[in-house]
Amino acid sequence: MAMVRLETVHREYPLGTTVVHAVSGVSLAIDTGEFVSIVGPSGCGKTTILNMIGCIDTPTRGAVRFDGTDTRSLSDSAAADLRLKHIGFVFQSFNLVPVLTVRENVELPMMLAHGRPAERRRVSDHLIDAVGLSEFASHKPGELSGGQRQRVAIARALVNGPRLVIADEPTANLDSETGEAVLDVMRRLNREENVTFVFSTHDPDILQYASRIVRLRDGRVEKDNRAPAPETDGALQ
Amino acid sequence: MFAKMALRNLWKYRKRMLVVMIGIVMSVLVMEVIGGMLAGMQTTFFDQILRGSGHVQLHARGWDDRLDAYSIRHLIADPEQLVDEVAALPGVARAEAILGFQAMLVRDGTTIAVEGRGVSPDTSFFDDASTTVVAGSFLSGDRPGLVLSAANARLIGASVGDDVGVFIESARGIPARRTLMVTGLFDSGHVELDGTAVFLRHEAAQTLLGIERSTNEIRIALDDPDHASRFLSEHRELFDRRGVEPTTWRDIHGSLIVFVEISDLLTTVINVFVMIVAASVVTNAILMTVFDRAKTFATLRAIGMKRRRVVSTIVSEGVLLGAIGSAIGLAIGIPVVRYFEAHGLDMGELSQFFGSGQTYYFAFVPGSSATAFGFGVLISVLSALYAGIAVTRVDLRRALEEA
Repeated sequence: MAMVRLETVHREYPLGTTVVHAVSGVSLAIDTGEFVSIVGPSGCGKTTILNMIGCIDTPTRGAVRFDGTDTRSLSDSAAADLRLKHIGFVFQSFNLVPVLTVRENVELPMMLAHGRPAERRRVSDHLIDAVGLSEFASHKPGELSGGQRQRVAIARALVNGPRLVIADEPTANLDSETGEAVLDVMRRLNREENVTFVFSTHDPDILQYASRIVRLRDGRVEKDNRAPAPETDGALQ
Repeated sequence: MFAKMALRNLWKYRKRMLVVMIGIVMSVLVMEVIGGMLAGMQTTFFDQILRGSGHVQLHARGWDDRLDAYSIRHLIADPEQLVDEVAALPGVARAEAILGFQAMLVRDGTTIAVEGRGVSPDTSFFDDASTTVVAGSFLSGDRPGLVLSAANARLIGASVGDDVGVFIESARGIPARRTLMVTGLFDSGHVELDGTAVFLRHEAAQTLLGIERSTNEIRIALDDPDHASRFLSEHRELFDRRGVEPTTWRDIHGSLIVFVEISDLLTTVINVFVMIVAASVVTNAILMTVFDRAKTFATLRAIGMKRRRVVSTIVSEGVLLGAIGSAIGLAIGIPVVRYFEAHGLDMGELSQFFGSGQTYYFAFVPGSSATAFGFGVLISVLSALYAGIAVTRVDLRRALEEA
């Protein structure tokens, strides 16, 4: 059974007196361990699909199932629990808590999941090291570069050992070199930890990293290609 | 970590938080100072009226049916014996016989109406007069005569040692004129007392009015004024036997007590008004601060924080702000109240109404300070709660997009 399944999903938003059809009849199945890139021009529905997969939004019609559970049936609290335990998020603009240090930001989801202090420290240190930011652990987000912040966001997304990480345009605010480095980190964690990644982008240069490319146009799936991604040993710094 | 987050947020958004803090500080300060002022008014008011009137008054049966304020037709016989008997009762601080009458003072063609009081030279019910003597003495010496206010003395052109004509109506209803020497002048600063009261010794008043071994009032001060009703019921038999009607201070000052109750209501109204104004300022400022961080709160929800937890994080900031702001408000307000409690506030004629002379004294009431502190925290917590609920009601997708 696919971990995530979208069944003829529609999502419409009222906009004044009109209705915007953000997603129109998308069906998709994502299995554990996949490294899926959702691509397409601005406004094609990438973020809407990621939001629905991540239980941040629900479809107007059709169903999004996570491990077979229809996400529309989840209460706000149950959806929060699902996100906390099984889904990690990486946002385009990083969305770190500005008053917390790198380590505290990374530990935060674990704290919400009632992780013990020693365990929190061990896991967060391991992840901060994995994304190459050990020497910045006590820094606040405002003292880091964009690429460093995004790596903190990746570490935060992984701290509770999620089965799925959703990244919405994770490289959009980064220069190409830093963007590649961030994708290298994601790819490596996908291979080593078997974490499923679903990320959106409209940058054709980074598609080489994806093992599967879902191309959207006007809220519909135009192409869904599975292709082996090349081996990468990109620098983490 | 959440407490740390709350503290760091307070510092990071310190300008906005300062607005919130000022709102709380001002509301607690106003509540503390107004509370102290009104408590002072009540304390002074009760102290003054009870010091003057006593807590229980005994009059001859039928006193309530009298036609004039100081009837000398309803008299208590053998007052000295009854005073001794009452003074020996448990819970009684002191008891005195007082003979009140109406009179006119005449000198050099000027006549003024006064209220005469025959009292003991060491009376404690009229210490506003006995302790403010400016010339002569208060009913002491070999030849005690009349003690009147310096203001009335000026009015009739009299000074200590001068004779003054006193017109009275005797116990038999016959108008009579006597001559008494002025032996003392007082200046209490109380318009009513200075304007009307004259004093002479109790026995001299008896002689003046032609009533022997009688008086028209016995005034009693109790150790605890709140026990007045119980005192009456416990000694009902004595009062019945002596043919006297007791009245408690609550009955004597019924209309004034209504005024005090109105002042309590006024305090409540002022506090509610202050709370509404403060709450609107604080709520707006907290709302702005919280919605400035809508992105952060949306992110926290996206990574798995439940709505309730987000609200409690915001409320914990409100608790901190409320506690700090209220503490500062009290740190300023209590010394202000304490200062005016010790030194008073010169409010001129206005304070005459409260029986406190020219100077008006505040009163520090710890319970009132605790209430002001509680209100300050409550305003902040409720405002934070409202802001927390409002920010978590925003659709998560939209909150993340708008961020």
